[in-house]
Amino acid sequence: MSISYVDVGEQVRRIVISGRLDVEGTDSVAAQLEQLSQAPKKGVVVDLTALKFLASIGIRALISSAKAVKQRGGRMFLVVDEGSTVMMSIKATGIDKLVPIFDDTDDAEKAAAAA
Amino acid sequence: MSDEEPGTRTVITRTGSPRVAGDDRAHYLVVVEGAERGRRIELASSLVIGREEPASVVVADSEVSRKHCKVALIMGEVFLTDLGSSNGTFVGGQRVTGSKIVAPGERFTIGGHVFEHEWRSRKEVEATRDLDSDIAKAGRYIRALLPPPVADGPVRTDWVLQPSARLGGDAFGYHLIDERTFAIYLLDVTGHGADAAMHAVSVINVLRQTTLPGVDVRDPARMARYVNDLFPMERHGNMLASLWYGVCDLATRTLTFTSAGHHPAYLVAPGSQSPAPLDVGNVIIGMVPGHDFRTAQVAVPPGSSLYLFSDGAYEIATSDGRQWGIDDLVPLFSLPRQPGKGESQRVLEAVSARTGRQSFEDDFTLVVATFT
Repeated sequence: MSISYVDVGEQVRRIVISGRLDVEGTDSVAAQLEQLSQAPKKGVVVDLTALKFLASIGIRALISSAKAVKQRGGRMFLVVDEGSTVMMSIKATGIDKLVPIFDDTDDAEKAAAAA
Repeated sequence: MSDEEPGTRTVITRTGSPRVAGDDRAHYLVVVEGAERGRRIELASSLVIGREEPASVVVADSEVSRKHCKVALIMGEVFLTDLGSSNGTFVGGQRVTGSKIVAPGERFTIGGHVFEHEWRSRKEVEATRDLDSDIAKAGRYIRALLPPPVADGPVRTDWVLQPSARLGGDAFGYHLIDERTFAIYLLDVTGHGADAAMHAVSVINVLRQTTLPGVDVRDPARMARYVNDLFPMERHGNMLASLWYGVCDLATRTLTFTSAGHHPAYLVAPGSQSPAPLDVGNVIIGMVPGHDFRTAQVAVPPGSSLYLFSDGAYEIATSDGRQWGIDDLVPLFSLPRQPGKGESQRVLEAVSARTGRQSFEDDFTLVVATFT
């Protein structure tokens, strides 16, 4: 499991999480995600297309980060492959009611830049 | 040995745990599954595990023989010997004949109990003992809140809840709200440990009520909204919980249900081709205050069974490294029942056989309710 980021222009940060977001190691990734999404960017795109598995503990990390971004006046966007098991986990929790979901990174970045 | 030539000697080469200066590690047997879960026994020389005295370690398990097996620490190696038990002693699914070395981290099974050989620093064990015991207490408290299986009446139930070593936040319940209304629900708090368990207890204690001021407990949407507004994550340590809540009108045989961030429950009707998913997309409890929950309805023909479970029942990494999903679990509901065995136990055993796992990363909870 790994987490990295790229700043795309002034207003957008893309965070990429790959591997398995389950019990082992979720705590450290969750803490990094919360820290990385606190950068003063309007739009935070979290790219989960390289994520193999997302357990409920990982969903909690995504939701609390999305709320923290909103709190400081920004917005979070998720990129998830349509039809993947990660998408199934995401949809089951209703997180799409809180965070817009895209299946294409470029589209998500455009939306984030316009946020 | 009588057949040895005079002058020969048996030399035992020590291959077991290497010892270095300052190493305070000791060998322990830890019960990782079964009624005695959490118990840790330090291995000094040898001991006998059995159902009653004079066995030195007594476990309350009807599948365990009086003197079931012997565990001996010899030159830093742990040897396991079956003492002619009726149901056998198993390592990695293989029945033990004669003696077998159990390496640190390896497990063996007798009856419903699984023991792990742990080789750990005494200091470390001391430090975690208090915490382990608190986690075990939290697990026992949740268990005390769970309803007993019901063997007769209009709705029959049985269940399994196999907690993970770290204790997940699973809890469930069912009860008659009145003589014609049956409520059933399952809750899965995200995360592990005592905080998840405490949150599960708080929420389940609300769901257990048959009357709540200003709330129609027969309306799943109203109940979901009530707990969602009561437990926002911001005020509850960032805790979230998925919930499936159903209410069956036993007179009209109609089940009304909602699911809040929970995967579907499944209904198996007699003669049906495959289990039918009971799903309504809603948000997980605690995420969006004020959310209006939607419900759906399904007819419950006589003899149909509801299968309600936590994600720990299918989010399983198999022993050969494959990731299991819900589509692997659900077809098991349609397999024939086994007389004399609880349906939930049958499914648990089938999952265990197919995944090669006897213990799971998350709580494994499955409740089966059959509408007669």
